[in-house]
Amino acid sequence: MKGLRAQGVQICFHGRAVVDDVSVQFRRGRVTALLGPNGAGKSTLLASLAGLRRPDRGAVFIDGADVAYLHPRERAQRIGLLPQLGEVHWDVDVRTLVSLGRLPHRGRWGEQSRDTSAVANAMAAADVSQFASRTAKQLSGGERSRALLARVLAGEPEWLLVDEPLASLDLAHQLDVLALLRSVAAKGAGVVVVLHDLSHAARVADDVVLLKAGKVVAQGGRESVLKAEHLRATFEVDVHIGRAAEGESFVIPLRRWQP
Amino acid sequence: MSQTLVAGVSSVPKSREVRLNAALVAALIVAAVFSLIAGKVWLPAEAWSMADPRWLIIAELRIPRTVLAMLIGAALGLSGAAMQGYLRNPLADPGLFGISSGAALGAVISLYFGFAASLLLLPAFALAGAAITMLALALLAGRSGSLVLFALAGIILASIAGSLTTLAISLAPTPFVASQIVTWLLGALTDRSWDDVRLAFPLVLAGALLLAGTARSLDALTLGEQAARSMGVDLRRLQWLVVLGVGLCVGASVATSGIIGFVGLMVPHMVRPLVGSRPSAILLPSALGGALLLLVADTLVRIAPTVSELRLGIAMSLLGGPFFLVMLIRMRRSVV
Repeated sequence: MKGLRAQGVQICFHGRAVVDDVSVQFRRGRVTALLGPNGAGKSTLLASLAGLRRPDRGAVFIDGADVAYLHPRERAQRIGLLPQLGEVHWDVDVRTLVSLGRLPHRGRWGEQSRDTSAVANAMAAADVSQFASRTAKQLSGGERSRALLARVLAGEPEWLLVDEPLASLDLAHQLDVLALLRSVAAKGAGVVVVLHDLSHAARVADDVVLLKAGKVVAQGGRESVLKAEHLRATFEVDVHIGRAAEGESFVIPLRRWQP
Repeated sequence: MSQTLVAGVSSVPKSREVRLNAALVAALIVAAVFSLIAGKVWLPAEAWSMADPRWLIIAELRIPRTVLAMLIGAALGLSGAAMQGYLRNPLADPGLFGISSGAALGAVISLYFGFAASLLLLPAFALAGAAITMLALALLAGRSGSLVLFALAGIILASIAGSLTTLAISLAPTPFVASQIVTWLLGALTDRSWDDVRLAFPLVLAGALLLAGTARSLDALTLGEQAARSMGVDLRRLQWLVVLGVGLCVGASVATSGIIGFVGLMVPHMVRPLVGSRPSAILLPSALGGALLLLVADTLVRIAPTVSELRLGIAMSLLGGPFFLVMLIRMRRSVV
């Protein structure tokens, strides 16, 4: 069975199911958006997809193999995770920061030419090459997010799991990052991205999974999931879904849904 | 084009590292030679023959003291660098683990019961103290791998060991024992012999090898725990490596020379501006820098014009306290 698959995944914190019986199939070459209100279990699901949180029930499979039993190094080579908190604890320069993404691949002898070129490609793709020698403290919030994204890309993972990559990015760089996620998928990787902005999801995602209180409300192709009734059930908000002259869909929240 | 540019950027820090390490080794050699010559008795070139009566001072006192200063300096510098990397806090110091306090308590107990006359009992007690503290630390915080719990457990253990040490001093059977304990706690390398080197060397070596094994994981931790785990880092294994490595290094240091503070705090800070902040890049330079700092400091306290020799532990505290304060003020400014 190809792809990344959550099967009956349940994850509990203090006896409460944060993710409850979630079964989703993710496919390579596609961008899947995980959407849902605060506390829906998006980040927890993402962590379990990355093999970091073992489900209390159910399992996550990558190409048919249980992620929990993969060797950590192999898992790290195949699945790249960009956590929501963009932590950078030491004031390292951007080039060093991005090259950390090669750690799961690196052999005993330090950086090889393959590592160097992967880092260079990732930096070019995330548009951070021009400030390669600046240090973390000298970056704006947006520059820092892009550098961290470049870090994950440098690992050239089969699966890219990204938790809210657009926070603190300006409009232009939001579009850049969305385009970047698309191009990563076009090159054959699977992309799973947690987003808050529904219009962004409408723009970037092939597939959409709606989560609420740990359960899947709807999943499938973008057109079939991003519908007013599904979004109302998920976010408790009435929305207007429209289409711009350029053909891009957009979603505008109208009012809180009063049942 | 951009590829060669980036490759160029990457090669700079690498060669910076190599240059710094080479410079530190060179400085260490010079400092070692000076340490062998300098002291209350100066040993010029003509003393360096077996026929000369002063050879005894060189062979049995100066050489072991010089070797021990470097060994312990390296152990403390490396421990500090590894701990700061692990805790992701530039103010972390091996003392924070409680391991040095635990080792000191062990030594103090042996002094209290008058075991110090035996050559091996005091170090053995000190190592046992370090080992028990490490075990307690692992039991308190080991399973979770949580950083906050770990640091707090260390602080609590340090304060318990500290209060028990004070208790031992206040209950000392004779004033002589009390003063013996206090003097020992101050830390020094005076009159150390080859026995001390033989004791410390294998322990420090084992600890250093364990800490060297943390390099990759410490780098990954720069991005936080979740990102590090997603990069394949086993946080519990890392915690064990750090605890055992620091425990062996610090335990061996305290066992042979008492508490010498601030080396592990200061050296990584001096190194960072020179090679950058990547945790693995500062491990080796911190070991070399620690060796150099302690060797120079020990030589200086020997030749300082004081009536009785200034204790090395006091000298390091006099140096380290203000250093720590300046750092704290600077950090506060950057936070505000």
